[in-house]
Amino acid sequence: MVKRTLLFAVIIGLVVSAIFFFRWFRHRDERQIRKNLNTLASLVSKSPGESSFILVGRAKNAADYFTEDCLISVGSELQEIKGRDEIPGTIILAQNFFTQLTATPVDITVRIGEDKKTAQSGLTLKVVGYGPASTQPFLEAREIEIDWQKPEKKWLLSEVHPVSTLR
Amino acid sequence: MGTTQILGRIVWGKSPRWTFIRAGVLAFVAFITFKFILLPIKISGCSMEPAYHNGSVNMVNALRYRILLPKRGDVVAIELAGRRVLLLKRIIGMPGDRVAFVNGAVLISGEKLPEPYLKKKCDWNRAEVLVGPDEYFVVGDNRQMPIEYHTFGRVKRTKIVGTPLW
Repeated sequence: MVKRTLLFAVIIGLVVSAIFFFRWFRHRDERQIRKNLNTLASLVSKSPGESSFILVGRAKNAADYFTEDCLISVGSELQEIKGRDEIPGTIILAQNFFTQLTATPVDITVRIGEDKKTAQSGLTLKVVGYGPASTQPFLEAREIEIDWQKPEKKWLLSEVHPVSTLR
Repeated sequence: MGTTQILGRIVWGKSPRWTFIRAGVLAFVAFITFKFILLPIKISGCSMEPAYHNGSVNMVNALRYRILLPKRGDVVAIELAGRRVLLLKRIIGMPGDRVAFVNGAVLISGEKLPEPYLKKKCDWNRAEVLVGPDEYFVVGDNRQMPIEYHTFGRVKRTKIVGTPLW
């Protein structure tokens, strides 16, 4: 009786592990995109009192997550960011408005293209910023769509544009 | 009965197996309830003042608009890419309405909309827009802030998740 129960538990364990590993390998691209988004959000965020030297380094690292000819549309009232070279300066400019800035991507969905070299993702970007003088935090939540490309091994953002939930 | 046994009895009850099953069922019911039926929210920001205050907590009834249609004056929760972040707004325009702001007053197809929930007047102006057949026009109650800082406009019916419980 004990042997049979043990055998049953082992079989169930093996089946669960097989499903887990199958899903794990199958969604490798999706995982990498999610990881890129979270890393990018932490590179853009700013802690209070963080030195400018570190922030500049992080902004440069953030640019590595974009394609060379990327296009970022932040909203109709602001200009578009065209090309990887403009990214570090834009991040630093945005960080200068705040003493503390936290960007968090939530509700991420990823659709990998059939060619496995392109992908689209949708998410809500939550931004909380504290200004030097203001007591109330700056809060912004925006729905965003991102196009991805995988020129070599790494997934890179090629186009970012906001979705108008309310228009 | 020793102290350990008393503690064990308090934690596991008469029958540990049934206690375990009950805890499992409770966890399952709580998961279903708070994931799909009553969505817990914490309000951030002041766009719905004075009805809803910054920092207060509430629950969104996600079943209401599966049964009923949204109506003018309803406060609704609107999803963005998902349900982790929701916008709380009030419906002022129904499908087919023409909505405009003139010196702070809301005009629906040319007629002034009475808004008893507003405590202070504002000076907003915005050209008339036509609300589509599957859309609603939503706006926050706090119109003291400049119009360009306020998120409002037409929203698709499918983006309306539910309504706050209180």
